[in-house]
Amino acid sequence: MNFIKPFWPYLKNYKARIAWGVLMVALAQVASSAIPYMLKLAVDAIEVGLESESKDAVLSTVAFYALIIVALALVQMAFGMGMRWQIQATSRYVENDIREQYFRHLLTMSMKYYSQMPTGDLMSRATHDVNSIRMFLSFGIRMLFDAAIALTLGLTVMCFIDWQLALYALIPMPFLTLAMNRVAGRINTGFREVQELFADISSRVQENLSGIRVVKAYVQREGEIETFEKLNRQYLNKNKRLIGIESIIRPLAFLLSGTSLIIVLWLGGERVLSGQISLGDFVAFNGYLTKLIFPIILVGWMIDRYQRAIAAMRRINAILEEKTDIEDADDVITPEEIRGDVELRNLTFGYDKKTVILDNLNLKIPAGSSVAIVGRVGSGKTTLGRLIPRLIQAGAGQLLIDGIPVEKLPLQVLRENIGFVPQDSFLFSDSLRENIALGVVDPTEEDITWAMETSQLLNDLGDFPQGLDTMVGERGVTFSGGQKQRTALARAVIRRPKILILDDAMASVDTHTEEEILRRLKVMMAGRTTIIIAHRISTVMGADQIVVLDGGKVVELGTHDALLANNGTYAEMYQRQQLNQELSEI
Amino acid sequence: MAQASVDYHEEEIDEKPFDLHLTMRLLAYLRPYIWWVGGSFVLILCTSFTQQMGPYLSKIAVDDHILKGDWQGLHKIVLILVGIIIIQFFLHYLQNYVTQIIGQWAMFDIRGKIFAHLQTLPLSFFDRTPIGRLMTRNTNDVDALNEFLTDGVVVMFSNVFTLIAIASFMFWMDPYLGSVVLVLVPVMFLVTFWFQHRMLRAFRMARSRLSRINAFLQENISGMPVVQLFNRETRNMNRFKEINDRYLDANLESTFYFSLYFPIMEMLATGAIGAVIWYGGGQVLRAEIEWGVLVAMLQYIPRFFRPILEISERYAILQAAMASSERIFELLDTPSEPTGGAHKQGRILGEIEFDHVWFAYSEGDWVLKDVSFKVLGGQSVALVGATGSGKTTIISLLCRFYDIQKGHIRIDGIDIQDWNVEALRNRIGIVQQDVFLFSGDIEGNIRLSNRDITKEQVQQAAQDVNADAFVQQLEKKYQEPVTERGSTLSSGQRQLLAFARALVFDPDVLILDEATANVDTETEVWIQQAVARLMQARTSIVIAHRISTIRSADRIIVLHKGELREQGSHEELVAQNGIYQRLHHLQYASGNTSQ
Repeated sequence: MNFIKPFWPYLKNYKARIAWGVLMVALAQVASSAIPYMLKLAVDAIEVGLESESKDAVLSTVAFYALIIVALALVQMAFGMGMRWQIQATSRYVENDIREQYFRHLLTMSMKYYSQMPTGDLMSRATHDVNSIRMFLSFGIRMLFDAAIALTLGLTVMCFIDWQLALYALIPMPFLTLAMNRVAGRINTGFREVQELFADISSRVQENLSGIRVVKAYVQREGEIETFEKLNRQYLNKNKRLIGIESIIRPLAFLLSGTSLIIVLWLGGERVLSGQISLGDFVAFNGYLTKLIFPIILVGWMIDRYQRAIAAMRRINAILEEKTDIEDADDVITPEEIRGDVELRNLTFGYDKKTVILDNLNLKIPAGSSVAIVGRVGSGKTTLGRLIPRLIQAGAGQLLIDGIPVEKLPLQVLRENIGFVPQDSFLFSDSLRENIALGVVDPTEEDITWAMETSQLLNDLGDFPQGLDTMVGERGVTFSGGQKQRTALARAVIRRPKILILDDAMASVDTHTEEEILRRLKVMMAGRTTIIIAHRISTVMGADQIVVLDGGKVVELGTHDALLANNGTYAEMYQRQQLNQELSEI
Repeated sequence: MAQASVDYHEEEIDEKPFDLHLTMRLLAYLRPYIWWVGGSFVLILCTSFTQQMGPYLSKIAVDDHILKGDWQGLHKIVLILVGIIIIQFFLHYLQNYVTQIIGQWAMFDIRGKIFAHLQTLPLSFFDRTPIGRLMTRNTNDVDALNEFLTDGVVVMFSNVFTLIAIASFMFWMDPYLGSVVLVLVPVMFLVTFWFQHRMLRAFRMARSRLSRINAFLQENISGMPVVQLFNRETRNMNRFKEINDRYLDANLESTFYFSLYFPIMEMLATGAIGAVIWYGGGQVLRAEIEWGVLVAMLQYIPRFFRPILEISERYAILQAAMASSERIFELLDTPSEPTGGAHKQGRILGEIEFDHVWFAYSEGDWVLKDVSFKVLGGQSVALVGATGSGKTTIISLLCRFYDIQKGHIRIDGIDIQDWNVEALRNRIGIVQQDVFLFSGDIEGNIRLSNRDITKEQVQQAAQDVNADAFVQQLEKKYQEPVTERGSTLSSGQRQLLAFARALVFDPDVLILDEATANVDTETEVWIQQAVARLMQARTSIVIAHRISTIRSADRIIVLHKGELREQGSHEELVAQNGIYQRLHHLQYASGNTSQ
């Protein structure tokens, strides 16, 4: 039972089901293996009866055997049903358990992990790999037992009738299994090649469509079609090769199983001729062979399935064994309340050892104040924002909230007190209401209205066909960039957080609306800490302190007026943006 | 695995009842291969027949040879059978191969046709159709058709023929005993359709619930930071459990029917064997039939099972293919963008005239309102205006990405409608703010798929726009691989590459959407130089964000909410008491020191 070991952690919850299933496989097989023998008895009876006078007695004997066959068929059916139900259902339960555990694990993994693991990869494990495991557990296990028992019983009876004939009849079988195994291997390779080319074609099309403006503007239509044609032809050729191999499976199975039947006809026929075996024996042989052909053909297939399932289990375990780098410390400190003091103490951070994103930052953000962080693309603003709710983390003791190092605060408490509006305003395909209420439990209608008003989303409500129940995303209304950002803002403010972090969160909101939002935020955030990361001067100019980051360092720090007077990077930024600013305010 | 992430959102309705019109249109794709199709049908006929010869020949062997003690006759039959299975092997292989290859050819054609058609569709089509959906057309839907054209049609016929062949042999041997078929086959079909109907329903439900799971997973994985920031772990876990369990329920339902179905079919076949041995045995006893008939019958009966099963499976494939083909044809029927008039011209002067142009992307929602301006050949024009004022639209209209509703656009005095669209675009070079790079190498991204452009020209252009310097620092220089969206290059570098691309195509009209992104000071200077170089000796229209670009333009056009409010040179506009003057004034008032 070693082969089942990799799956045992999941299977062991269903021991009883499996045991019943296996028992019923055996019983069904016993019934079904008795049928050809009953046929033999019937045929033998007829043969004897041909010479005897009392045809009626023979007829009733035959009828008796026929009835037994029907009875056996019913028994086989009953156990067949039970066996399939037990084993197949188990495979479904296991599939369900694996997927659940997989997702439970994913929920604990940190942003760093997700930045290294492509979503497509994680998804394909949850879909393809889970499916491979399920396939083996349902068909594989059943067929394996089925084939093993059928072979044992069938062979025993055949040998009992005529062991030599049995051996002769089975000569082609090992070849069949071997050939199937080889073909399966080559199909696997061929299939992988086809899949790879398919991926190439897909990304080619995807790219062409994403860049369709360039294609059109530079009149590249013909060139693009030519490139596609080339890939398409390669794909065709790979497919042709795969088909060349694949097409042989059925004919080969028929060829070799047909050979077995011919051997029985030939040698068995001779034995009947010479009176070594009866006609009934001959019929029974045919019956057993027909029964065995299918499981033997499937042996190759099962080996292949098994290997796939093992590989899949390994790929899933690889994910499950991965440890998260961000979790609660053993010695967490749970404060009564978070005030919102944020302090950076020699904060240094890089995503890998080579690059430094934040370089020895020191900054105090007193509770209740607002700070704005500006700087070029890549200056480290976003990284700084992510460090506070511990989406990523720097060395111990470099970032403190209310004087407590963040890594000592329970994640739950820390994040509950933070309202975070990320750059890309990720919304879920759920109703607008659910999206706003994401981080609060059972908000009142007033809460939602208030949050929407604060984020200036309330005026848009009329545009959504079902109001708050409008579905967001592909299967509902596609929100504009500004609407998305304001929804993301609403879901952050509805938590009435002690610390609000806006990471370039209003880039798609027009300046007039932005001004309105900022005015309301100021009221709401009185006594709370606001951290605004932005490109636009209009967004940051009202902050208590403005930090200018460059190359991971603080290059300027002060109020809007002070920094303008300073005539440095900030002032330069301000001038560059003036034109756009003024234009949009006309 | 690559297609895994494409299609989680598309779900539910992917079946459609049989539709004759669609089927005929689909079958038209087989027309080029009509002889092959014919051949494959002949092969199917042959194989379905030869496959069923075995039991009949064993009847002859039993009756004429074994029971009569004819050794030689038996050997002859065995030899014939060996011959048959060898021939059968080749025929069967050939039939499988030919059928599948025909399908592949047809797929090749359809895929190519879809791609080529996509290239001709107007931009407005791409504006409203998500790429993911188009990807599905070209991949999953095409595959569904393949199943229809090969497995669907061919296997369906082959199974029908097989059933006919078995029944014929049985009737041929003994009409009375053969008539067991008349009872067995309809019963098997009835059972099959009763279960198939229920299994399919459960299966369909399971599939739609699975895509719900996948969509949820995909979304949670991509949005994991949000999930964690908003302390959603427990609640999302519960949500997941719920949909995961719903999927389990649907699966258990289909498993339930599935567990019943096969054993019942098996029982019917075995039960029929019981009936045959009883009735047939009596016939043999009364010497009404020969032994061999009984032996052959017993072999034929289990063979009914598989073809019936496969026929019912094909029906589901057929339904899925109907839905797919409908979607594909809908795409192929989407009208192409106009190819324009007959006018073609090599070099052009680059005179551009907007004559009372009105334009809306969607009806009634005017983006440009009565815009008129004229640009002389070789002039440079700066478009100034807030986001949404219509600047980008003007650019798109010049390339005839969209058609205007009212007014005229003339290029070199010829109405844009009379220009051949591709000839026109060949004379225009466009650089967008968001530079799109194709995966490939640097050189390929500069010359695109135009093979007339030499390596030297590419390098020269790169030098002219200051891109050569950074390219030379790359490990493989111009052969350095570029990934999609060019994530390995900085935004400034991507800009420079786009400039080189525009320059190497040597357009007569240059359209430039100046990037607003903050780049480092050094790159900024390079970009400014490159822009100046690009604008030399050609008409240029720039959506300008930098004051330097605006001031150096021959003419400035100020747009506001789709209306042309002011135009003229910097000096003229400053002298006017308008928006531009106000802008300019503000710039200085706030202590402009740049430039």
